[in-house]
Amino acid sequence: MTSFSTTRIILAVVFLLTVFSNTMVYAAEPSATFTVEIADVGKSKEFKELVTLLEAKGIKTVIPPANIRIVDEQNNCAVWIGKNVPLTALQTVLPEAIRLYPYLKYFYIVGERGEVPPEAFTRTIHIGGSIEAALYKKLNVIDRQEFLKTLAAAKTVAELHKYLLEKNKALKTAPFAEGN
Amino acid sequence: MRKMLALLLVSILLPVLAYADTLTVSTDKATYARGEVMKITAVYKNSSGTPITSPSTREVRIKNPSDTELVQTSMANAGSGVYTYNYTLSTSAPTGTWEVRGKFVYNSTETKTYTYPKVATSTADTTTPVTTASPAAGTYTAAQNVTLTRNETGTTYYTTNGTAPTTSSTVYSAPINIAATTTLKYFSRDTAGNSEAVKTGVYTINTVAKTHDAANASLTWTGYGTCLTCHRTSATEMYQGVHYQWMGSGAKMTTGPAKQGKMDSLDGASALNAYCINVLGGWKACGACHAGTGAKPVATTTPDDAQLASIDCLMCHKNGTIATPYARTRNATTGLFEPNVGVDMNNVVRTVIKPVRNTCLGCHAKAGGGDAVKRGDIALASGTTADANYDVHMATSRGNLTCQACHKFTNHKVAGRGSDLRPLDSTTAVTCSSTTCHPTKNSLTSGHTTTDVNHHIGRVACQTCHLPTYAKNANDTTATEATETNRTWEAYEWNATLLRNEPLPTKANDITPKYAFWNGTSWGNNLTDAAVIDPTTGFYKISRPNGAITDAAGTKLYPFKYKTAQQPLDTTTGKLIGLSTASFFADGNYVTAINTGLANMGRTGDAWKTVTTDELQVLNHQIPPASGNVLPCAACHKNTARINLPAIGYAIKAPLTTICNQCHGVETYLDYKWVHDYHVTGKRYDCSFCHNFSRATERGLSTTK
Repeated sequence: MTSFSTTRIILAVVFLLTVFSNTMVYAAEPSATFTVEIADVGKSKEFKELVTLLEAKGIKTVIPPANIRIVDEQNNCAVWIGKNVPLTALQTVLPEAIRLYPYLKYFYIVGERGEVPPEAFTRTIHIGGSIEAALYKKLNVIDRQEFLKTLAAAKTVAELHKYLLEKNKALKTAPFAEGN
Repeated sequence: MRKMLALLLVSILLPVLAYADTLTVSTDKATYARGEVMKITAVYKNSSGTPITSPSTREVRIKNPSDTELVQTSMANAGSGVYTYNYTLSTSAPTGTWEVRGKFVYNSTETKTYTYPKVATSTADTTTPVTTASPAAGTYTAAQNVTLTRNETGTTYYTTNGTAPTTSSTVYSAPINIAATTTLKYFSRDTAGNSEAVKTGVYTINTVAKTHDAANASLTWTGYGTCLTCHRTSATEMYQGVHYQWMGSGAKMTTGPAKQGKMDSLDGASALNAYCINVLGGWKACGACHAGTGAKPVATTTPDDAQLASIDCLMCHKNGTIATPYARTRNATTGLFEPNVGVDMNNVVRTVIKPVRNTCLGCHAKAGGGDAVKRGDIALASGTTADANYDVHMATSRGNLTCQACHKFTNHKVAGRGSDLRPLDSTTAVTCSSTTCHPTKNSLTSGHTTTDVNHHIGRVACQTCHLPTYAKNANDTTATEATETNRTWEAYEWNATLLRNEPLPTKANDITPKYAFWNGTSWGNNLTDAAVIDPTTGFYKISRPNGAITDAAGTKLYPFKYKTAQQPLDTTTGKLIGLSTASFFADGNYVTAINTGLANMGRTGDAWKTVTTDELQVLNHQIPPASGNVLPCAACHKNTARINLPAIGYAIKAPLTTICNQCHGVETYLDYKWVHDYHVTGKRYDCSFCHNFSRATERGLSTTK
């Protein structure tokens, strides 16, 4: 092989590496098209810390308007996960949220029980959903450590969805009967 | 010869034998112990069974086993042929068989008879003793000295450690001091060896000071039934109240059954409204504001402990100023409420207080699903604002009144009822003028700035003039306190917290009230009632205040919030449909929610259409300071923008010429005020001269010229 050919090959490799590495970097980062909503449940220190942390990672954070169902962190202990939120986003956001809000215990893919949210909500992680909704939908409490392990080990978002679907299979003795 | 003698003897004796008297002698016992009384009874009759009441001899003789005669005497005549004698055996009476003989003579005929009682050293005693404790077992607030009393000679045994006593246990000799809650078990054994069954008495000693004090370490949380230990009566009162039952007396309703309210039912008692329509299918969503621990209340006049313990007293009596105030959340397994983790419930129960404004507003300001949504004249801001123009009675800078300053509680029943609310909890009236508040403002002749204003008192409610607008925006809160004026179920908006679709509201601030006469009773459309169109509005009315200008004194013109909604009507039955909020919340699908609602009502498949409903809700709060805010005369008089007085009955009853010609023909006059001052204030002519109503009685006016 001539030195010119070698050079070409080397240049080509460098070129390809440059192109694809950017792509990989881009793919490794959470999608900029999803949103994190954090209900202000009155824990100002942790709330500010989470917002700051996420925004530092370039994640768009929204504080939903106050309403009578945003009470405190024990009543707002659910995480609603939009079905189009990328896995990497979940792997970035949820460990921090769970660390700062230790009462989070319901993790749910929105739509699994038939609710039809706005399209934007399918790309939203909502931290601080109401326990009223969780019980209404007959969700199950999921052990946080188990969830974090599963989240960390998941290779695809479908894998995580499947795990949550399985964990949230309605109990026969769920406390809230539909319509009751 | 012998035969003849025998015959002669029989002929002599036969009449005697045929007509012989009968004498029976008996003792009350077969065997006696020494020292006992032997009661002897004789019955003496003739041959035909007729008692012989006056024998010439009525003797009893007693011999002991040694054949020694101890007694020979007459028996007492007890009447009707009965004769008695009592003999007391000595304590050394010989044992064995004794002889008791009765010898009676009547008409020279003697009759003798015998009975043979025995005397033994003792008789068998098989009767168990009975022991009584005094005072009886129960709950006491101080130590007790318990006395155990036996009804016969013997020994009493007892324990205080809960174990069953035996004859090896402590022997009772003196009153037992019980200073702490103790289980006392005891029994007695008599000298014959008979033992009664062990008895048990639990003495509960509650010497804890009854005051709720943070330093009272003896007062501890033992669950939602904690309060029952001392407050059972209050709990029973609360149980029957509207706050707990969500039902109550329909005495102020001219429609519907005797009991009505928010609680869902299909018997016509369940209220509809133009907000969430009806509770049917939505207990869990609505029940978060219920004064209970999550279970639906059971209507019973005799609630048991478990039912009383379902009352969450702390919903109203919690102290919001302590370090970790009471807060509750649902148990993930049962769905019932329980205290939040980390709340010091011992401190919570020690520091309970009577409700403050924020306690009441925690639920009442959020009626309809959000802050300020429903009532229009209260909001969460009513609990915290210092803005007197928002509400002079509640502003922290002015009245700072508790709710119960006006809404008096009697046995946990609250005074006051919104015109649209069905149940009446208490018959105590809420009034603006009392001995303690605005005492001079209830007179037709004095108290206000002018005579004309005084005259209004009889037929115009205070808040009509003193509440120019409602749904005001407090100047020191971030929320707007806007109230809902319309709600449509045909569209929806997403609630991310509750992960559900909710009907679309329209909200507004600074709204001018609607006005109507109200006599204190109301008309309501309940679930399963046929819907009724109000010809005035053209909409299906949900609730209306009853009243007219011609009603009796006490009926007044009040300000109301006017609220509309678009909701479904069953065209087959003509009834409003309690659509399934659960279904609607899930996907915002109006049609599915209606169909589920129809199924819940037992009307699957019925045709339906969307209609507009409306209701009037009386306004009482958000009164600003009078100065600069009270409505001027021109706001209502000769000005129909705020209120069309002629349309509600104040129009003159005939053309002016007809009216004036009653007395003098049409004349020129300054203005309406002059006309009234001259004719009513001056001439004391009754309103009925010119209008279709009278105030003759209440204002002492004349109906004749």
